[in-house]
Amino acid sequence: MATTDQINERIAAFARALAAEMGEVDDSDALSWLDAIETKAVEIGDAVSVELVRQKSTDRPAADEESSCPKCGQLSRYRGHRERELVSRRGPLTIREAEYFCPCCRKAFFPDDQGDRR
Amino acid sequence: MTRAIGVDVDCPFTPAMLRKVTYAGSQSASFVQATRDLEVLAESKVSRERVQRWTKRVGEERVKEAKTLADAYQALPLPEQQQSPTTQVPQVACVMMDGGRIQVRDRGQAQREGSGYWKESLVGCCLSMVSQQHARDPSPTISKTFVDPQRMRDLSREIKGISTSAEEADVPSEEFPDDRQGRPEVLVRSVVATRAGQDALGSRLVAEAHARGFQAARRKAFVADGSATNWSVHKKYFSHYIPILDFTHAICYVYTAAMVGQLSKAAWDDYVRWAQWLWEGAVDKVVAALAVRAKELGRPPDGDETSPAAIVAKTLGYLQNGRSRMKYHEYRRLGLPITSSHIESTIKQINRRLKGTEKFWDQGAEPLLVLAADHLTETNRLVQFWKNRRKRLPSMRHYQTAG
Repeated sequence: MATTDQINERIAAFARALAAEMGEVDDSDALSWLDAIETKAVEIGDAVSVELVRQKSTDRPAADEESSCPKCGQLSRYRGHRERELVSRRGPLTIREAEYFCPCCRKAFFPDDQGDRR
Repeated sequence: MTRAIGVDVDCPFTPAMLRKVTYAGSQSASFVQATRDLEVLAESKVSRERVQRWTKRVGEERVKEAKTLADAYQALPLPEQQQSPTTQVPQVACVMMDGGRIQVRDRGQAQREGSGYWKESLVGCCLSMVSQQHARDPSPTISKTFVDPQRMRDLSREIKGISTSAEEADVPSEEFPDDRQGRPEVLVRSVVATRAGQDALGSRLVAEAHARGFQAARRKAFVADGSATNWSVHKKYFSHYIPILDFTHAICYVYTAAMVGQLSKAAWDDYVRWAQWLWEGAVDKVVAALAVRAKELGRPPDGDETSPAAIVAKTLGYLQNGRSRMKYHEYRRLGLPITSSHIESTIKQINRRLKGTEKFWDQGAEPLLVLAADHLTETNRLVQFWKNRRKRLPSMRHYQTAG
């Protein structure tokens, strides 16, 4: 896993490259030039945050073929992954969840939602 | 094995966003205002309905948690109830309580007569304090604020709803000190609020006091005004705390009794003398003086509450009933508080969210009350709640899918 210093270096390099590519920022509708830059920077930061969460949620471990139903304890079948829209601090994002179906309870359940399993 | 994402199966927010939504929903003036605050401050668009639904949902979880903690405390054996679960024991443990009012309307019910929809809510706070103990009363002369004619007129109007004449001198004498010497200093406040009645408040308040190590404190005080509800809670849950009748309420009674039906100058002189006696804890002297006045004025007619005779008689009853909780010289010597100003200001803070002529609540009042109290609490109660919440999330969606 990358250290905080390594991540900060990557961010600085990314920001330098982006600043060079962006050119002049249009400040005609902004409160000031600084306001226009800040707004653009926040938009980019938000997009990076959302993308990072999306990436990390898709590279989670693969689902098991079977999982125990939290209600009756019976082994239940994996039904595939569902996409779920959530509102985050940085705007809407999509994550993926493994869905299982219990034939006894006739209900879908999501092991990811079951408390902290760490 | 996968890791929990910590989001309810039907929740549209990430955990951090849900905290923001709940904060806005329970702290802004209304749910509509909460959506505006979220848009401006958190740059997030969330509908009023979602803010309302999820604030109430989280509040209901907090209500349940508060009840569970109260039940757990009640289930403890007596010796354990008297011990502190923490090593941090306050120098002075102070519990204060009072009632507030909010409008509660059952949608199916016709409009009520009399007090309309106003219902009582109860609020209590646990305050850890520091102060010095003294060999004798460190502040034997009454503070200037209680012998300031203008200030007393305002206080009496605010607390007792009675206006008095304004002909007496407007400047208090310089012989009175500006403030009480040796006043205790508040370190940490935690707040409990409910609409579920005095037993619910008492059991939650005593559980909170226990969790904060109050039972092991060497100096403990319970401060409240003269309402019977407050002293029922004291008797049942805090009988080992020193009972203190709020000085501000008591002085307002004395002020009103002194000022009604007398010429201004003579009335003010009587008041200053009686106020100093009350401050010294010499309640018997005030009672004796009031008994003479009551005799002069005669017995008030039944149902009369506003004549001088009725006001003096009521004050006499108030002082006689509360005299065992008015040893103010002794409380100052012990470094204890003598006013319930902290609970009064706490109720005002809660009222900003819950109370208003335009605000009507149904079953949603209790979750909001609990959340408003949580946000005024300076311990890590809410941090712990959010931390533990993911362990209690339901694991199934509410709908039933076809096989």
